[in-house]
Amino acid sequence: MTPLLPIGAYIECLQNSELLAPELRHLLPADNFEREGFFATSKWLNFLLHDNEREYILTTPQAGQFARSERAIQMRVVHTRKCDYLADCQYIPNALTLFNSQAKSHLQAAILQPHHTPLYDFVRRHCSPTHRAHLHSALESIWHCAHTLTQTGLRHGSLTSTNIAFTPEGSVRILNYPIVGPAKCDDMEALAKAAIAIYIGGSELSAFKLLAELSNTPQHNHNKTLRTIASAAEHHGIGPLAELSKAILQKANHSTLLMLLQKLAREPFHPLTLLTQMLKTRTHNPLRIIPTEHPKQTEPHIKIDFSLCDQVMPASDLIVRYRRGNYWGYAHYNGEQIGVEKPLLGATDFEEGRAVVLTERGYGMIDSKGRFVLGDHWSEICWYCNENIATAADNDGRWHIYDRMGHQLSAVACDWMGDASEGFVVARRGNKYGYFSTSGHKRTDFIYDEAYGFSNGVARVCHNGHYYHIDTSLHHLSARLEHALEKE
Amino acid sequence: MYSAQITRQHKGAILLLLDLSGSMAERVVFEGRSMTKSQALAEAVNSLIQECINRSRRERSTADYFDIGIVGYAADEATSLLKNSWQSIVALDNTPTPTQSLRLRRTLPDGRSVETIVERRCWIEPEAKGRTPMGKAFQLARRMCQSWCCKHPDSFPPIVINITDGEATDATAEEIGALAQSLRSLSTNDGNLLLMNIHLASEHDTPTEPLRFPNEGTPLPNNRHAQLLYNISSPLPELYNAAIEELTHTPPPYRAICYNASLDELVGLLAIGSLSMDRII
Repeated sequence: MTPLLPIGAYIECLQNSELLAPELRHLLPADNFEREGFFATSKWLNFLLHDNEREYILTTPQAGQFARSERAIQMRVVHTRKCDYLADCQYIPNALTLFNSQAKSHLQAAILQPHHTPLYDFVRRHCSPTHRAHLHSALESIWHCAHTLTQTGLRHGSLTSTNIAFTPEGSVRILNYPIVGPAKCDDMEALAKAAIAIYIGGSELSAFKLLAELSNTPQHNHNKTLRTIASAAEHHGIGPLAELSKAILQKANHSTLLMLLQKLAREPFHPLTLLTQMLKTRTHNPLRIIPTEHPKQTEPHIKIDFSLCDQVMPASDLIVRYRRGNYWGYAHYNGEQIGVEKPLLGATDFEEGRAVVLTERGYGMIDSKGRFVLGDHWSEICWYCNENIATAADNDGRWHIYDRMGHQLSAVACDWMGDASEGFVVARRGNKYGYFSTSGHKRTDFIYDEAYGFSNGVARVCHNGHYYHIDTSLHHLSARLEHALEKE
Repeated sequence: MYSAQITRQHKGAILLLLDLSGSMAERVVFEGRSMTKSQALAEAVNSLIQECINRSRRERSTADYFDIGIVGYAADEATSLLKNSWQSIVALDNTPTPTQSLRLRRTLPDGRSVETIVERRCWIEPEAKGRTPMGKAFQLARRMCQSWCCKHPDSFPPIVINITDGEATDATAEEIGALAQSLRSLSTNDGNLLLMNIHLASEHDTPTEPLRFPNEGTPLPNNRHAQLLYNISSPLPELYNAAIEELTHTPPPYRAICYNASLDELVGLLAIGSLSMDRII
């Protein structure tokens, strides 16, 4: 039997995982040391290897197998890539220092070139109605690729949209190829699905987004989606799209799929409004972007290529907030990543070194190094940069004031806290309102029926049914000033 | 160069750029006491002004040897914290100020350490709110120093001391570099303006060795702030070499930067920064 070749990387390393450099322990899980000369990962995991200058991204989950010695490495055959559609794979001797020892390690990895774009991002980038020629090129390239793979007999075995990338011109590059082992899916079918996705992206971006989101839900029924696409395509009169979807469902032979891929590549893009409506009814959350990947929580010297992000916000405090799929991350404006220990489902801009984030557990507040100063277990947090405080509510709805280091300042819990301004925070207990200072001291009892934040040194309150203004000394304004304010 | 005597005719100028942003509310250990960075900064600045007054004190009055400028930067603006942009040391001495009791630890000649309580005047109150518009502070500093240099062409050049705990929020590193270069390019006939930078360490920052007046061979902390501050700081003139060599035990030439130094060292730095005061007499 052909031995299982390392899918992603050959790495010369020490057998004791304790000696792995700390920053790589979570990147290079090694949990099987039984075989002489090698150890392997039993789980299928994502790998991201890096040195000081480049990232080597293995975009699909895979089991890694690593050699312990130089001899073991030499026993291995380095695959040469003769097919144009396979991403480059390089053997890089002495390229990386992966361990505490001074010795360099060797690496063989499928290299995601900077100009290669994953399928999802490629479609997003080229879906403009006036600039869709690249999507047609991509469809054409998929057909050529499928044809070539059929001719050469090369087999990937676990091809999905996540390991299909494109050159800027729209030529396919397949990553992590080849795997010698049992095939998990049909390559031709995967390419056909990718072509369908690209066609839908070029026709109706909203439908593409919904499709992508749907495909990544755990209980997704692929056949049902294909039936939806086929019926919508028939409604819109897009024959090749309908036929290709049905052919996949009917497990048509490769020559039929090839012929339909060619037809689809030549089909002009049509609006697919019905498909959008049909997919919306299945997602319940229209236009939410799929989690293609979340920012890697790694050492800060990893650089983020903002052009590959789905959304990049303007820098605030020189820190850029970006999104990949459903996950957010932060990076210094020069691309240097700020690692946060948990995946972020939501994030706000940094303001004077603090940002409010949302994890699966709840809201938290982080500092500019990505450390949580308020843990991610709050039901709500508001950060007031100008007042240098945060107000936060726990899961029981109790609000308190916290300083920038996360220390609780207020002694009395409230049912609600409003905006902090001019040194005051308006708060409510029961149905009565009062004021705290931003240092956390209670400045008034909860006596007001209504109370508003301070602005220009005064705040409007309602006490016993009478509306009036108070100043920052919490004194009722004189009738003259009150009159002037009302006039204003 | 850098040899002008500081006299009543040829005054000296010290401009302090103070980071009063929200992050200065974080805590620092200062002379064995835990306090916020803004409190420590105010204490250090007040002691510097007091030191300048003491040095200018003559038999019957305070001599007008110095112009002092203090610019605070926070929120979205950089503003002078004094009544006028430049205020003479005499005017500062005559300004009514609140006083504060300070506990100071002193080492006696026999090695014993004693704590004494001294009254110190407060020109600056601690403050910590908003963002860090360091770029605007540099722009304001340039305007102030430019006009000062025009009025005092034969004086010792102004000394600008930027005290901060972090990076600017209104300008990139490149922009800060350009602004600093523009500031350093100002000069009197005695030499170019001296720009010093002091980065205050946080109690919760990853501990690193304090770094004072590094020379070219000194490895900088692996921190982008350190590199930026080093790059924008002036090379120190030979005038300071002897005092710094005594302090750091490293050979010159030095850069006018102090990174991750405790505020004890800040006070030490300010004393060194005011060496030119020795030339008064």
